[in-house]
This record gives sequence, structure tokens and C-alpha cells, in this order.
Amino acid sequence: MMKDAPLELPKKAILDNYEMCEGLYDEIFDANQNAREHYKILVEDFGKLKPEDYTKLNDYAKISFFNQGITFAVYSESLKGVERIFPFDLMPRIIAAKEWEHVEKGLIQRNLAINHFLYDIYHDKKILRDKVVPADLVFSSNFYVREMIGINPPGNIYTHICGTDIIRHNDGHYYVLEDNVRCPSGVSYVLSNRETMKKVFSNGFLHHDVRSIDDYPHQLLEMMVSMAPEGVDDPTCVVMSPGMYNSAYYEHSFLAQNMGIQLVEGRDLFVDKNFVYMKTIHGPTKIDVIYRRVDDEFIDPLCFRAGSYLGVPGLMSAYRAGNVTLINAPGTGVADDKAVYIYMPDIIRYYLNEEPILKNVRTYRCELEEDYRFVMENMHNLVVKPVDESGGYGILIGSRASQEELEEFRTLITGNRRKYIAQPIMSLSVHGTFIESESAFEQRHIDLRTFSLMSKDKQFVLKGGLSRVALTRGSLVVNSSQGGGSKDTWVLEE
Amino acid sequence: MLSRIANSLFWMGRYLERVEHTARYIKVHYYSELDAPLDSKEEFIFESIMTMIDEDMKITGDGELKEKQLLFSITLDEKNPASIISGIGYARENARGARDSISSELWGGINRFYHFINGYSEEDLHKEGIHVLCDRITEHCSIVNGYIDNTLLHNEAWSLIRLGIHVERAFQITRILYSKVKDIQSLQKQYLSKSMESYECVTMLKSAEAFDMSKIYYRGVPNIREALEFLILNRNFPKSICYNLRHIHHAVEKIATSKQHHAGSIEFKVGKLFNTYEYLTIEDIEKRDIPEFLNDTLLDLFEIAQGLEEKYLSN
Amino acid sequence: MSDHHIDYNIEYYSKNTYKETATEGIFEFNVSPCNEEGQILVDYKIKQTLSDSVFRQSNLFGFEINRIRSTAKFEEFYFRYQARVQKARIPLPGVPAWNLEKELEELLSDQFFINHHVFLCPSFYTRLPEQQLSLVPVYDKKISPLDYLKTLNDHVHASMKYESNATSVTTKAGDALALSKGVCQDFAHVFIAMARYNGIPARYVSGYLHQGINYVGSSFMHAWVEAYVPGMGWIGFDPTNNILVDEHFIKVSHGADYADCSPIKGVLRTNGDSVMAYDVKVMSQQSQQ
Repeated sequence: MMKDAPLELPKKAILDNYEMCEGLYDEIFDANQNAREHYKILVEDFGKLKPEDYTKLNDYAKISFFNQGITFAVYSESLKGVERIFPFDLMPRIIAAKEWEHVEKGLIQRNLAINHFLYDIYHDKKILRDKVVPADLVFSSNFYVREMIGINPPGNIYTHICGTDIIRHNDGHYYVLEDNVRCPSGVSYVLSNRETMKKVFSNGFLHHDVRSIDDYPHQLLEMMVSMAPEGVDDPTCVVMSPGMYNSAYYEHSFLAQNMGIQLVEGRDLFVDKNFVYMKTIHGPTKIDVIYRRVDDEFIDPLCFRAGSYLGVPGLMSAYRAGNVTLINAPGTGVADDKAVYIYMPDIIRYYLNEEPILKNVRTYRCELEEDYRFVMENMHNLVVKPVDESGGYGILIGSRASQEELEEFRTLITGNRRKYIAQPIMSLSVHGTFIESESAFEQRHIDLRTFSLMSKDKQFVLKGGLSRVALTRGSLVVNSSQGGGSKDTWVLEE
Repeated sequence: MLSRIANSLFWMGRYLERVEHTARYIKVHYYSELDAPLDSKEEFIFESIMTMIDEDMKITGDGELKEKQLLFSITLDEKNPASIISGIGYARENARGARDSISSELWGGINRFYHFINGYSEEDLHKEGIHVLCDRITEHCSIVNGYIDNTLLHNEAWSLIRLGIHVERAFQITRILYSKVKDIQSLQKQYLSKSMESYECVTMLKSAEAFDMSKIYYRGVPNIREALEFLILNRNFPKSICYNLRHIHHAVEKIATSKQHHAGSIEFKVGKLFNTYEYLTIEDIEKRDIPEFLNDTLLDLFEIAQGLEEKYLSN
Repeated sequence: MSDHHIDYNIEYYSKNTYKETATEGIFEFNVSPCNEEGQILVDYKIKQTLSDSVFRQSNLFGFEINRIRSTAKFEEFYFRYQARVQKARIPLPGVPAWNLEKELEELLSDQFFINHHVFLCPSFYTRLPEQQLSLVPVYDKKISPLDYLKTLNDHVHASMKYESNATSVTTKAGDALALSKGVCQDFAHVFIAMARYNGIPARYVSGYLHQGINYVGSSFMHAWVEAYVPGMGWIGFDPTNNILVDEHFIKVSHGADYADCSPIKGVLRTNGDSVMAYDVKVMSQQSQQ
């Protein structure tokens, strides 16, 4: 009877048109386009969604981030910074239990070895004397801190917090891309992403046994407390931030608030007779453990860079006197120098007498004659990175570079060969990601920033981490400062 | 609590109050005076709003253009540090600096306020009129004030925000009274109509959102004397000077390190000032020159604000 | 004055004045003569107007630092350090202790590099730009390091002209070398850069110079160099005066370069400029009588 009424076209479900590119490792589907075992339920859940449903959820998630002030400011020539939210993708990245177990073991192994390495290079330097790692490489690192020579941090722990970046190559194996052992950031986004996901996509959590991540702030505080200077029973712990104009300020305040401890800036602190105090409305309060999110060179203008207003004059001598613990210890950056990275498998074998669990990417040290020649000739097939930067700055991806850019990098490298390394272009695995402009899911490259904590007898690895997504089609750069987004990461129970 | 955080909370309170005051003042002066019994009302309105913006701000146009420029400058102009948008920006920066001492609800409220004003364009302003914008701002202020009182532990942090609010309000009210009394005195000298005088009196009350309550209190429209009594000395009206001094006193007692205050300490000065006002009558004030009395109040408030900065808020 | 030692009275005085009131300040003074072989700090006293007490501690290289911290606002302060030092007369190093082969074996070993890396790697003030490396007199390893260092002392002295206002405390070795001018600090940095480039450990030394003798640079704190000779240890060279260090040099501290030895370091909060007046007196017992 309603013959003439227009037929409602069946709207396509959102994953129906998912295109797969050959030669890439897709996290969701295998080469035969079947959902991998641990993604089956998720694919089914998402398969029920229409693009317009999805868009609604997506918008809700965005508003939620915006109103919580989970934004970062992009400063430009205009009067004030433009606030942006980190692009967030609702489709979670899932890691199967067995696979995670392997990753976690690998991370712990690596972090333990790095910690041994740092103790060694600031004490007996055995690894250098045994020529496993070249001595001049260590001493010429911009992050080698003389003031740490002979200093014993509590429990001999240097790298309390590690943010190791791992990727999956198209051979299906996990590789470590970078060890971030200075001030790795991003953990607040992991926790906020999860909060938002729980609100927006509660069904997913009912259908999966996702391992919880809420206890990170608790674990962090427990680690800080255990690192108190000798003889301090009930330590006062603080988070120290460069201030609210820092792009990671949201994270600093998030962590302080979630641990229930004070967020301080350098100007809130002073050193008197080698003890550190914060200025409160009721007078000075002694502090014992500082999780500082200020780089080494800025923490003490008396010791390092004069004229830095971010730091506390005298902090290093208080630290050297053992009256305050800094987290991470100063001078850890030697271990994430990208030229030292090359020796990481040897470092693991040297201290732990074990084979490395996670793979290292083949890396060329431009300082070495043979490597230098190779890099010069094959730059178009390589990624060139400065050894001492983070956040994806100063990187050249040879296959995408113009002749001018390649030439520019050849000059840069020749001018300072110690500063550059090169690696084959790794094919980061891809993951279905909702692309707003297309209203569809497309493959995008991803990596994984993991977060590990280390105290005297305890290693903790956050289950999952921050899966970062390169939102531009085909792009391999996932850093948020370079327009990357992120995903919630689910590690499944066995 | 860190002195820097204390400073942020205090100034967050001050800026929020300042924004609310500015919005209310614009609304009252722009609309109430449209039907003022005056010949050159336009000039008069502009004059009174102009006093709120920086002297360096150049308003070049004439007539409608001038009005547009002026209203934009006082509300949405980021270059004008006295504009509402700047005030909200400062309040938010201070809240951000003290993010870990306040609730997510309060932070969310301020953040929404901030995004509201930043998303409001000059075209919106001219299309909808100044009244709509000022109403929305007043609403946002009320919401934020609700969060301050109802989602925070009433501890030091809360006391510092309240301290900022009451110090700012005491300043603003005293300033309004001072300029209005001056205006009325000059009108009296010019033997202008009585209607203008009572008109000014009503504007003064409205500027402090006190018109309705003063009518209830005095059972009728108050005269100048009553209006002044109400706005200076009423112990139960939240905008009166006396009320605000009492709350400044409360807040200071709450954050004070010790309860023993030696003469000359900031706590002592606050207590003394508050108690003076508690036992003052309008007759006492009338014995003196009223503008002079109000000017002295301003000086006392300055001294207190400075003393607070030095003792608790500097780092 | 005895034949065996000299007694010195030393005074360091500085006064800082600020145009705007400073609200907070912390200062470290590295002016105290050290105790070492042949040098005894007999006693000392400090007078200063900034803080209630002086906090003493050792720096990275084990030298005593005096730290003061303001507890109230200030517009000026002074710091006066007075010490009595006894300095033994010691014979100047004559001939190397080891033969050349043994010296070189040690100098060229990997362990030697690792042990002395702080004084072998270029530092902020002593890094020479690539294009200036050709100006470094090459150590051909045919003579003892000691003899090479003596010629280097000669070379630096001859190629640089002492001039007070040509350089500043921020001038690096490369800049001073390009100017061929400078003060004792610049002479020391150039010497250090060149010695290190040749694989010989060298360190920056700050201290006082006997004012009774006509040495250049004695009216303020002086700077010279210590270089490491295998088998002999650290030997002092003063390229400013082209001499070997003797009992007229009173050492305060050493480090990788000036940054480790600057007599005063401070961090303060003020909006305005400051003026510093500074004076050094070094008198031997004899010249006082």
C-alpha cells in the first residue's frame, strides 16, 4: 500500500568498505582479510555501527576532551595560543595477552640493562674499558652529566620512568624504536583516553576483558615514596613543572592531582643548606622527592644553564648531598642518545647475560666512516635522525624528501657526524582509524609508547600504553607535535 | 599551600568578580540610562562606560560607530586588558595554575565560560545586542560561583578564592558609590531636577543588584541617604561594603597561621577595619564628607590588599 | 719570610649593588685557597652582609665553596674573605720521570682516556672550531709531553697579547684565538684547548698571584693551567707570564674550564641592573713588614 513511499536504502556499516593495502601489517585483519582472533568481537561491535552513529560518538568524545581542558596550545604569531585537543580515535588497538607478555618482558629486560649501564658509566665504566661501547661516544653525548660521576642515587635507580617506543614491522615482529628515559610524556592521555572510552563505548568493555590501567598514579606515587632519601620515612613528594605554558602542563597537573601531591614550579622552591623547601603560605616545607618534568640543563641555574628561571638554584648540590631524590636522575639521557641505541643489544648481553627479547632496528652511525659513506649514498632509502632530539623533530624520511632536502641533510650530517644516525625506513603496522573527512575507516600507521616504572625491587609496566596514529595517509610520523593522534590500547586478560 | 597557588586562587576570585561586575555595570548603564531624564544621554552613557576602560584605548568613531567600538572594546577586545574577555582569560590562567587545588567541576565551569566568550564573535554582539551577551556572562558567573561554593572543600583554597571575590567586590562597590555620590553632588550644585537625582540613586542601586532588596528593606524606593546606608552598612546584603569586609575578615582568619595577631599585622588591620564598619551608622558618615569617607575606604582596602599580597601571596 | 716557605695574607672583597631591590638571591664564592701538597690554608675569616650564616660545601672537584642566601630584600651586599696561607718553596719540575716510550704508552692507552676524560674532552670554553684546529701546534710524540707543554706555554704566550678589555668572561678559546688577545682566562683556555686536542689532559686553575713580583694579572684573581704528565702527575703552567707555576701561585680550585672556577656565581631576582666592585690583595709576610 505504501508502494510509492521511497525505499529507505540500507545504510552501509562502517567497516564494509575498509581497504587494505598490500605489504602492510594490519593489526585488525590478516592477509586474507579475516579479523584476527583477538579483534573478532570488536570488529563485530563496530560492524553494527553506521557512519552517522559513529560520528555522534566521535563528537561526544571530542566535547568531553575539550571541556576537561585536555588540550594543548599551539603558539603562533597571534595573541594567544590556539587550543587544540589531541585527535583521538575511538577504535581501540588491541594486544593479545600472550603477545603483551612478550613485550612486557622485553621492556623490563631493556630497562634493567639501561639502568646498569647508567650506573656503570658514572662509576667504574667497565663497559667502556671492555670496549663494548665506545668511550668517546658516551663522553661526547650532550646528555652526559659530569655532576653524576660517583653519585649513588637511592637504590642505584636512574630511570624510574621509561617511555619506550615500540613498533611492529611488516615482518610481524616488535622493534624498539626509541628508549625515552629523560622525561617521557603521554601517560595522562592514556588514562584520559580510557576514561572517555568507558563513557562513550561501554559495550566494548562488557564484551572484552580489558586489563585495567587506573592504578598508574598509585604505582607512580608508591615508586616515588620508595625512592625517598635515606632516613626519610614519610617523604613529601612533588611534581615539578616548567609552568603552564609548557605544552605538557596538562599532564603535569593531571599527575599531581591524581597522586594527590603538590604541583610546583622552580620559583616555588628554594635550597637552604642543601635541603629543598617549597614556599607555602605557612612558611617553608621541606620536600624529599621531586618528579621533575624539567630537562637536566634547566633544573639548576647555579650548576647548569645560568639564567634558567625554570629551575632551582642549588638543587644539584642538594641532590649530590643525598637530601633530595630526582626522578628521573640527571644524566640518563646518555641512554636514549640514538647513537648509543645501536649498542643496546650488546648492553643487554653485557649486564644481564641474556639475549635481547625485543629487536633493535639496524642503525647506522654517521660518525663511523663506513656507515657515513653508506648513509650518504643511500639516504633516499633511509630515515635520518638527530641523536639528541625527541618529539619527531629534525627527522628526514629519505623516500619522501626532495633533492634539496636530501642535499641539506648531507650538509648537516657532514657538518656534525656525531649528531646523526640513519635507519632503514621501517614499515610501521597499520590500524583501522576513523577519518572524519571520509566518514570511513582507513588504514593508518601506528606505534606504541609504553610506560614502565622502576623502583628498588619492583618493575611495573602499564598494560598497554599510548598507541599513536599518523593521521595523514601514508605518513610514518606519529608524534603529537607533528599532527599525530592516539588510540586507547587494550591489553586482554588471558 | 604554595604561595604561588594561593596567589592564583586569590586572583582567580578577583577576576571572576571583576568580570561579573563589568557585565552588570554595562547592562545597567546602557539600558537604564536610555530613558534617563537628561538631554545628552548618549554622551552620559558613554562617559560612564568609558571610565571602565583603559585611557589608552582609542575610540575614534562617532555616533553608532563609536557605540559599536566602545561596546566591543569593553567586552570582546583581547587587546584591552580591562575587557571581559581578557578578565575571563586571566581567571582561567589562574585557575589553570592552581588546577590541582580545585575541583574538575569548577575547572570545567571556568573552561566552558572561557570557550563560550572566545567563540562569541563581534558579529554576534552586534546582532544580538549587548544585553544578551551580558546576561550570558552573568549566568556563567553564577554557575562558576555555584561550583566554588558547592564543589570545593571549604578549606584554605576556598577561603582564598572567596577572599579574592570579596576584596574585589568591596573595591568595585566603593568605587561605584564614590563616582555616583560625586555625580549626584554635582547635579545638586547645578540645581537640576529632583527626578534626575532619584534617577541616579536607582542606577546606583541597580549597579549593585540592590534595587529589589533595598525596596523590600525600606518598604519603598529608598532615598539617597537610605541607598547609601544600604550599600555601605547593611550587614546582610552581599554587596554592601560592610558585608564584604566581614567576609574578608572570615577568610583571613581561616588562612592565618596563628590566631594571635599583633598590632600592625595584616590580620589585625583587617579585623580592625571590619569592626569599625560593623558599629558605624549613616549619621557618623554624614558628619564627614561622603566622597572623602569613601576615598578613605578605598585607601584602607588598598592597604589590606597589599598586606595580603606581601604576607600570603608573594613567592 | 723563611727559606722553606712563604706566608701569605690574602683578601678577596666584592660588593654588589642593585638598581632595583632584589627579592631573592643565592651566591656561591669559589675563592678559598685549597690545601694541597706544599700549600696550607692556615686560617680564614668571612664577613658578609647577605645572610645569617655561610654554608660551606665541596664542589664536584672537591674544592670548598661558600654559599650565602638572602633571607630578606636587599639593594646591596658585600663579601669579604681573608685567609692566611703557607706556601712551601718547591723545586720546579726538571726532567720527565719516565722515558718517552713509557710516557706514550700511558698517554695513548684507552684506560688513560677513560680515567681523564673530564680533562681530555672539549668543554664549553675550550672547544675549538674546526677551522682553527690547524692553528694548534701538533705534538709529534718525539719529545716528552713535558717538553711539548713547555713549548706550548711559549707558543700561547707569544701568539696572544694581554689586553684587559678585548674579551669578557663569556669569551671562548676560539674567539680569543681569533682575536689573538685576552686576559689570563683566555690564555688558559687556549692552552687547555690545544693540549687536549693533542691528547694531553689539561685543567683550568684559578687562584691568587703574589703581588710583590711583577707578574701580569696579579691585581685580580689569576688563572693558569695544570697539565698531566705521565709519571709526574699534574704540572702547573702559566701561559700569561710564560712561566712554570711556583710558590708565588696560590691555588683556589681547578676544573674543566672557567665555568667550574668562577669566583662568584649567583642567581637573583631583581628587575634592574647591577654593579660589582671587586678587589684582591695578596701580601707576603715580608712585604707587610
